[in-house]
Amino acid sequence: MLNKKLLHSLRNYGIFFGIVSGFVVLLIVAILLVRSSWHTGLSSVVQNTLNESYPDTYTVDKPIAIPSAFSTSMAAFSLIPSTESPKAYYGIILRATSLAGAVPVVFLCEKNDAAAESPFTVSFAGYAIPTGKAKNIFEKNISIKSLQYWEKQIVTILGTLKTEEAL
Amino acid sequence: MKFLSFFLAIEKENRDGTISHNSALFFFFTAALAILIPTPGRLAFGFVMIIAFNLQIIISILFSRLLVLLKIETLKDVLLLLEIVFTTILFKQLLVLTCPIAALTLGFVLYLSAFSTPLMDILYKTPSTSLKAEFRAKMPNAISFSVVALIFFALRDILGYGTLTYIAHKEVVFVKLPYANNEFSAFTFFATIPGAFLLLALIMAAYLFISEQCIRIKRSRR
Repeated sequence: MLNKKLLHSLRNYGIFFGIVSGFVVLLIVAILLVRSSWHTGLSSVVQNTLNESYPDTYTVDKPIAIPSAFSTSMAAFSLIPSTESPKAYYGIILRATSLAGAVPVVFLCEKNDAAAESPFTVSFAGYAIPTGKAKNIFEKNISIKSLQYWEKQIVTILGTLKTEEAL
Repeated sequence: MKFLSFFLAIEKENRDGTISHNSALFFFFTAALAILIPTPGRLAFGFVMIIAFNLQIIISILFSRLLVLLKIETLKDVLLLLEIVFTTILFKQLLVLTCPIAALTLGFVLYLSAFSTPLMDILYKTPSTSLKAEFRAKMPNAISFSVVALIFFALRDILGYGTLTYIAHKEVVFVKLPYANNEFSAFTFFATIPGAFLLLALIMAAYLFISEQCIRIKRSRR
């Protein structure tokens, strides 16, 4: 026979695990439901930023899965260049830090030949949100250093993708 | 008027006529730095943070009431922590659905707010007897903070960037203000993180000044 105290504890922990399980299920459903929205929304931002820096040069294509913890703060897309090119191009959007706090930045990546020193050439394409009259703050040394860090980091992140098909 | 009197209650008059600081509100503001400083200084992002902040408080009040009804107060602290994390992640998913660029930009900042003011204000405050009393006890601080935070973000956006921003479906809309050109001005400093600290200090100083004046006016009427 279970005594009263034990029954009370069982009831409490039953409710506890019920609530926790409810939270987990709801979160899994929510995350699965919004996954496509993340890529769709950010692809249009990448397209707009690229259009400003390189008018009519690239069209954003499919999203690329990033197998790292960075996937929550960045998104990558393959790009179709308007002129035929044997090289592959990618558009990356990520959250970088600047003197004015976090800011979304778009980078253009070009896949190099196997003989090249670095597998990718990464260049800054522009800020994904208008900087207004604070433009010069985003050109300060501390902000530029952050962009340089991310240019190096993107090469490493894209290098972790296992196969050519993944790209 | 009642709201305004609370809003300006950083200093309060004691029974003996002396003025003392409302330390609870100061503590509240200090803790709220986690929301105000790391959030990009645009009104749109500030608005999102304020919605998240108020949502966390409202859901936490309702959830703690549910725990009282279920009679599992012993596990209240752990469950409330889990609920705050759950609400924040769920809110971020809603943000991804409605405005992915805001979700990307804010990122971890949303989680900072979850572990600052709401925790102190809800977990460590004695629960009231009824739901209505609970809302009455906890929401005025949240509303006061929300108003000040929105003024803070609006000032940073207008003075620092020369824009006014708001969240629209799937995008952040930037309205360039007519007087603002792209040239650097001294006010641009407010767009930076050190500028955010300075602006916050100025707002607090203005707050103190106004509340002091209010108390003086009250006294002179007597």
